[in-house]
Amino acid sequence: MAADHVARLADGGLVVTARATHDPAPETECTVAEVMTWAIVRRLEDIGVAFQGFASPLPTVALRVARERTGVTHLSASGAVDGEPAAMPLSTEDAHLLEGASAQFTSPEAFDLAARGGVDVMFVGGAQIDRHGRLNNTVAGSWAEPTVKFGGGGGTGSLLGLVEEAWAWRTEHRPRSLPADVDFVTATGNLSYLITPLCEFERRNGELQVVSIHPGVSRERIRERTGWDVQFGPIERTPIPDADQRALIERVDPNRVRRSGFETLSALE
Amino acid sequence: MSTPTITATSSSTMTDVVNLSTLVERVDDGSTVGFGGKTLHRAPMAFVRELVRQDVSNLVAVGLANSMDVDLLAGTDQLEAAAYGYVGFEAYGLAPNVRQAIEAGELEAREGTCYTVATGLRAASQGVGYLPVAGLAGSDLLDVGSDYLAETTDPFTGESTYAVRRIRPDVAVVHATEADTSGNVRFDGADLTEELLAKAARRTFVTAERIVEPDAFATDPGAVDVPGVLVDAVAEVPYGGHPCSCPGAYEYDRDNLESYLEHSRSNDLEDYLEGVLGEDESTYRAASIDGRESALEWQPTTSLDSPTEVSS
Repeated sequence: MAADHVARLADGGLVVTARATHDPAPETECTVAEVMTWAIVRRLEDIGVAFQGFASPLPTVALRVARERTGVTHLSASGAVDGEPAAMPLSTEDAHLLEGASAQFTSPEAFDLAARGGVDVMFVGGAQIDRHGRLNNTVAGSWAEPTVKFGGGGGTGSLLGLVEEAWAWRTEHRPRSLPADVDFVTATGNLSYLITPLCEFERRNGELQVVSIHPGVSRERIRERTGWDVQFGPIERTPIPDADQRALIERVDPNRVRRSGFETLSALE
Repeated sequence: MSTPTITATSSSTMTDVVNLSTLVERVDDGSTVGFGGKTLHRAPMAFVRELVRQDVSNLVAVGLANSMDVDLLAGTDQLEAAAYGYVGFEAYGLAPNVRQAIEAGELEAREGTCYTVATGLRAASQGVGYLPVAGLAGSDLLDVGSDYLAETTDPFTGESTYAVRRIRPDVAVVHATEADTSGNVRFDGADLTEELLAKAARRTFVTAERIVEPDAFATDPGAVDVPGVLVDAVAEVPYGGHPCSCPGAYEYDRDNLESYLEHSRSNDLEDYLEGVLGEDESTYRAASIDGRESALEWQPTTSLDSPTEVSS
């Protein structure tokens, strides 16, 4: 897949081809996708074992970067332990993640490990995530009369209550996907963290509260785009990764799969 | 579902080497079929296409995490039900035909999680009627899945736990890199649920990129991923996973998958199938593969930059 998206020029430069449709801003060096990636990398500093499932390109890039920096153990649904591919694949079940891996460990084995208390962090997506940190990956509307059928229980449906912490990420931040209460509770449990293109949340006293706001984002915008009366804890400004940090992200993810799923991305300085 | 009985997975130790159409003729209408592979990788797509050609109907699809295999059969109205943890195309989007069929009430969704489906298959592989499983507390899946998920009591401690009913496919379908004439199967890359399915199902059918000579793996039996004793029949089908990937052989075919998704989203699946299905897999390869072999060829990812020093 790498060859489809990035070609090397004779002078050593890169050209991102038109086929890199997952990157909405191919000319832009730093966007909120890099800010989010780096925020997760920093957060992984003291984590021992983390698991990543399918359809999770941005957290998988962050795990790969964190492994280079601080040595987290990276279990992948692809079956890879500590995979080190030269370029991250867009599908996070892809056997390319086995390149450079130290061992194979299949996803049912990773589920077992979580069930017996051996997974510190799992990355989770959620078609809907509510103020209580509950996930819906099943239906919008109701089970009897769904308006949208989502992908299904996946790994998180069982694991949310088994892992030490579940960290959620979303590539957009809007009320219908961050409602006060999900339409259907696919899973509830230990979701402790959520990062979106606007901010970072942590779950405190049972509720997701904003703890960090990304550059250029206002509290008002977060209020408008969140489906509940969002509370702000002590607030930090999410840092923009510096040039070296961005270079590391770019090195492990030259195809920029971390930008997949974002509708638009604009330049940050 | 009947009372659990303990029977061998296969009634015979012989494995048949057959062609694809013969293999698929052995699938009865109404069968429960487990599909190996995960998401966009090593889905047994040639087998699925032959199910479409032969119009095998009223199937129940089983899988942990599937994509076009289950979705295509939903689109051709050959599924009565699906027992799944996830059906979707990862970064490429929701499964359009499964989504439409469930939203319209035309497909019975037996939704669980990847872990509950794995546990149901493990129960079948162990010859028991159910197994306890961790997780699920507070999930609404328990309410909608009461035919196959239940809260129960640990008989030894009295503590509350959850149980998954066994899932015993009539047929498991596995696509592999290679198989020998005794049905021993090897694939490049990690196991993607294939061994679990082969142990759980009544019969296991394998399609392989190539059939190799008898005892080809005898010098290194540890390299066998699914032993032939679990396999009933094999068929050689090059590009049998296309347009999904077959690790070590070819990448997933992004153009083809996107064409499938676009056609499906605009209710034009027939048009997609007309262009590619043909009368058999050689026609399919002529339409979808010929001339594109090198573009699809599996290659390790390549580094584009030299290592960078980074401050923390």
